[in-house]
Amino acid sequence: MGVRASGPASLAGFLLLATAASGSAGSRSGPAPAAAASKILARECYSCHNQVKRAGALSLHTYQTLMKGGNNGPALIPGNSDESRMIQMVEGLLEPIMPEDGFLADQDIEVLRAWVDAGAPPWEGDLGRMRLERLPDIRPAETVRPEVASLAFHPGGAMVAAGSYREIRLLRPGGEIQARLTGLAETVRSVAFSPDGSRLASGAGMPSRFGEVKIWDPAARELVRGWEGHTDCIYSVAFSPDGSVLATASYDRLIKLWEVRTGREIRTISGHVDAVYSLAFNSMGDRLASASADRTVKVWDVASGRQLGTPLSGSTAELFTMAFYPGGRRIAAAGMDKMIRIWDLGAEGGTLAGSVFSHDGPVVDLSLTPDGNTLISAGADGRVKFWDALSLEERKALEAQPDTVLALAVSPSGKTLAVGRYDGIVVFEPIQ
Amino acid sequence: MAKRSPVLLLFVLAVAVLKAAPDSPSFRNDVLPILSKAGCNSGPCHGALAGKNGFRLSLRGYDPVTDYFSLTREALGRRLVKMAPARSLILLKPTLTLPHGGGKRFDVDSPEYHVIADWIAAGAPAPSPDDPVIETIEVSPEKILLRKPGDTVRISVRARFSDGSSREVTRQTKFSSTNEGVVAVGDRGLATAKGHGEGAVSVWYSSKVAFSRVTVPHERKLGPDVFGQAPRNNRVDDLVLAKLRELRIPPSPLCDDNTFIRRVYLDTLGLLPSRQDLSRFLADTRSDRRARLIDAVLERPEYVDYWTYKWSDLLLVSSRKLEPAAMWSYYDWIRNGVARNRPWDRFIEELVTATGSNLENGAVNYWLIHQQPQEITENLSQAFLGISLTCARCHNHPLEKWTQDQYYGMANLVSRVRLKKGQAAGEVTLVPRPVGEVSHPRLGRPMPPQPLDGESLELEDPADRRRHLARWLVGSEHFARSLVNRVWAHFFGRGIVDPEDDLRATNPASNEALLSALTRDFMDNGHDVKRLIRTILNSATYQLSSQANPANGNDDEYFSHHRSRRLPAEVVLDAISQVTEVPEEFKGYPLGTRALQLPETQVESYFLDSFGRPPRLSSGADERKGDANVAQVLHLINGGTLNRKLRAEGGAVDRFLDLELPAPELVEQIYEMALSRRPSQPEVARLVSALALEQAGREGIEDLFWAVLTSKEFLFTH
Repeated sequence: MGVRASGPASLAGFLLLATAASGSAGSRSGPAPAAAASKILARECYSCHNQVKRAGALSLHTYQTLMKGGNNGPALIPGNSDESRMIQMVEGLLEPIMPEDGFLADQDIEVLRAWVDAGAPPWEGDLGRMRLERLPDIRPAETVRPEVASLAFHPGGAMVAAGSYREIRLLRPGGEIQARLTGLAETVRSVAFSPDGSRLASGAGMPSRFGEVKIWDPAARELVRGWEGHTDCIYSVAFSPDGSVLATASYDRLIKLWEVRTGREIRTISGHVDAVYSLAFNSMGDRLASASADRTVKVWDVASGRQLGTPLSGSTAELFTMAFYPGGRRIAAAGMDKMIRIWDLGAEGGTLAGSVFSHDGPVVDLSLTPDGNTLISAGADGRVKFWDALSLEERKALEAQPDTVLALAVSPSGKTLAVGRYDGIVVFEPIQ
Repeated sequence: MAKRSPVLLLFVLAVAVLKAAPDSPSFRNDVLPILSKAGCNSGPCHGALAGKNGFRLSLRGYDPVTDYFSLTREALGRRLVKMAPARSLILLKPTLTLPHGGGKRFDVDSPEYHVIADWIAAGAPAPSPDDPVIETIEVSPEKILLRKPGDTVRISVRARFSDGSSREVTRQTKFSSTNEGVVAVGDRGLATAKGHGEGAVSVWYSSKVAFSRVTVPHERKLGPDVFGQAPRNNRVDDLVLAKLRELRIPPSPLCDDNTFIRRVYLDTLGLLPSRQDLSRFLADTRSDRRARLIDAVLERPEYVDYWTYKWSDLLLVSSRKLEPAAMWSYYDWIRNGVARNRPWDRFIEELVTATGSNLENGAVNYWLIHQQPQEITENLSQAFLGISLTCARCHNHPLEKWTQDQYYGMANLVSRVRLKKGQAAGEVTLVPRPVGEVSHPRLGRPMPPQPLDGESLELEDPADRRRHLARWLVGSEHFARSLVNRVWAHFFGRGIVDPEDDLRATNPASNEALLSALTRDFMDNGHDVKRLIRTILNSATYQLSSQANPANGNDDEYFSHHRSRRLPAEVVLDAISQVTEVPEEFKGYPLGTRALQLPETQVESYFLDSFGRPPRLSSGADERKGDANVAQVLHLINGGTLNRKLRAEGGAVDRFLDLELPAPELVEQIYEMALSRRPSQPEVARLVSALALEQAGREGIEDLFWAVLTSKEFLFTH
């Protein structure tokens, strides 16, 4: 499937999907032994022998994991199908007979034998991916629009990036579409401009499978480079203040630091025990903070990757979003428990400085104005509210939105708020 | 209100908010039931309080709004791809297209798959307040008669909605059997008879529960006389026999008079009949002698001891939380109620609305034992309604109709109580206060005070909310039913609903007609507990022999014969003291106080603890342990309690030593004292020779007592 191509944007995501769905019946010439065998393994064996269930400690996720074998040693001996446990089991010669809930067609067994006897050449990619190539072709109704999952203002103020399904739209503040960046893996859940505005980073990827990072030249509207990282999709990307480092956070509980210029991984930061949804550097660039579904915000020393102090706690449910105050002395975070909390940072972590019951539903996003005076929250209740960033007093609320707001972005002037909704619409609102 | 921005630009042309097409699946009524049936939102899976692998659903779908958020929008639309429905995790994982810890729940291309896919393709429309709300489910057939094991029947389920529509939901319904030994049920509602008896298939769809009752009568042929000539004393027997006839289970005959007097004394008074009581009763030849005995028994002071003890278990009288003066005041209040045979409704109403000093009004102490509104709510429903509400504290009750909203409506009825320290030691004064609310944890605001399914009060209403609660509580049929079932269970070792304090809708009575009739009778006659006991004791059903016949030996729930059961801890100990004529010493109580006269359970006694005395920490009926175990046997055989009494001076052993009775007569008297019957000739001969009673002196008498008092016959009812 071409979705994960790292080359320049080519086709809209939709079209790729349609191609993939209809393309599986394809090849006429008869597949190579490895490809044919892998299809059978994907269909018949992978339900139990995958990287999660690992029945008998055997995973067929990739060719490499298969060749590691399981509890009873190697699953097969290349070149010798008769002596291979896998073949003996599907033939019913060795207990437990496989597959446990059925049996293979003779021609499938022949394909597997032929492949083993041919030396069991490797196949490309992983079996989970192959299964994804055979999905039913179900189209959305014509009225259905992809959600706006992420928003960012260009530091110059003249451009807004809106991440959506397999696409980033570049808008003028106000709304006119300037360009579409495509060729992205699934939903773009985070976008960020570098502080000098020369680069745009996107975080995307397939839930439960992989994350995708891409670096774009927003002026030229071209892909600069892209790579895969993480074992789940990416929820947050953040540039260091000097623009040289990109931090990414994923549902796989990890934070990674990358060198923007090369795409080289600098470091993996582990410490959260659940999905990491939100990241931010402080203005000095020496601290990185992260909010997680594990209900904590953690602060990290960027140079060493070490956690600083104790986690900021108090939240009673998943945290989805956080913001660093200018100067880096204070952090706000919010999530499933409908509360916004703020902590003052000290040497030993942070102390809870305030909290407010903010919305009639989970809080999905938080944003601070550049002067640090106003905190803006978006709730699943469709409300966008403005708070005094120090006292957490409510200043005003927008009229209820017709659908959930997933993303907020404040213009560099602090005068305009971009609001991205689940129904695919971006609204611009003045900030007074 | 913010000014709308002049510039508003849409990505797309369509401005209209997406509304579900009329024929697109509904989240509430189509998608959620599939998730429930597939077990996605069950307790061990994503319905766990902490969710599973980051994905959390409300337990069995009690909170559709939050579930909708989690599925569609949480984690930035992680689980659902609007533009490519088949790529949604919610379809990839349960079909095992991607690895899934919970295994395969349905197939790609199954009807379940397509309902969810179609819903996503329609833009995943949200649950709306305008959705038709499910009102009832109907199960068909409601009553099933299967002739023999192996026979099958298909059960179908229809749901009726608030818009008047109805449709078949069998495929989305969860089925389970309440009695696997009688009926098994498959995923699609196919019920198969497994054995004889009665069971029910419970069906669960979208938080509604219903039943199909299944009867598999025994295949034996029974003559008309079996039921026609069976003993019948009152209405109880008519209803019990009707059920036995339906199931073709023949009842046992009446027990003999010896068995009867022992049973009625132990069950009602916690006492063995004395030899004088026994011989007087056996000499009575009048046909209504059993009814006369029952009347006499019910007027004895030991009746007050026993039933005060019983309600003290339920009301948790204990010095664990109460000062001694308070504990006594509470006990005395209960005792006074029992002695005067206070109607149960007025008794409990007084408890629920109690005010003033706990030393002057013992009922106030109930409010000291339970102080949190949540605790009170849970105890009130457990103790007086047989409803366990604890689950609903955190989420809608999975097996019951009670929701978290109802829980907090109820809790808010008991939130306005203030306790003040009084003058005397242990004195506390209860004052109703005009303010105070309990917040619903999910909604963050108090619910209008409302007793479960009763009328709600305005939040502003200044009256003592407990009065409203009490009126509803004691007026409800459920309240009477719960008490009737408890009293029945006391005399039969098993409630008509079992366990005796689990009266949830999904736990049917073994004889509904019987429980309903007794409940009605109880309510029509002023909640008179003693009258209820009298009715039960007079029934032939209570007086049946414990000798099972081959055809009713397996019956454990329809009352075809007496169920032999171990005597409760206090009764065993008192009976041993009674037979040995050596009272038990309880620290802090005058010598001669019987175990059943103790006001509370914080009184040290290894014997009582090992025989299962309840600690009175919760009102659950399972606090009292009725099992027979090795520790008890060992304590009886080797422990101090019995052996000390046999060696004590001035007891029965001494008395018999002085009497110098012939050995056979000695055996006879001890049998009458302990077992309320005469020994058979072979029993006498065997004991006399085995214990060498003629020569052994004191040791022989001790051995004889020991042998009788450690026997199963002594420790059990018959």
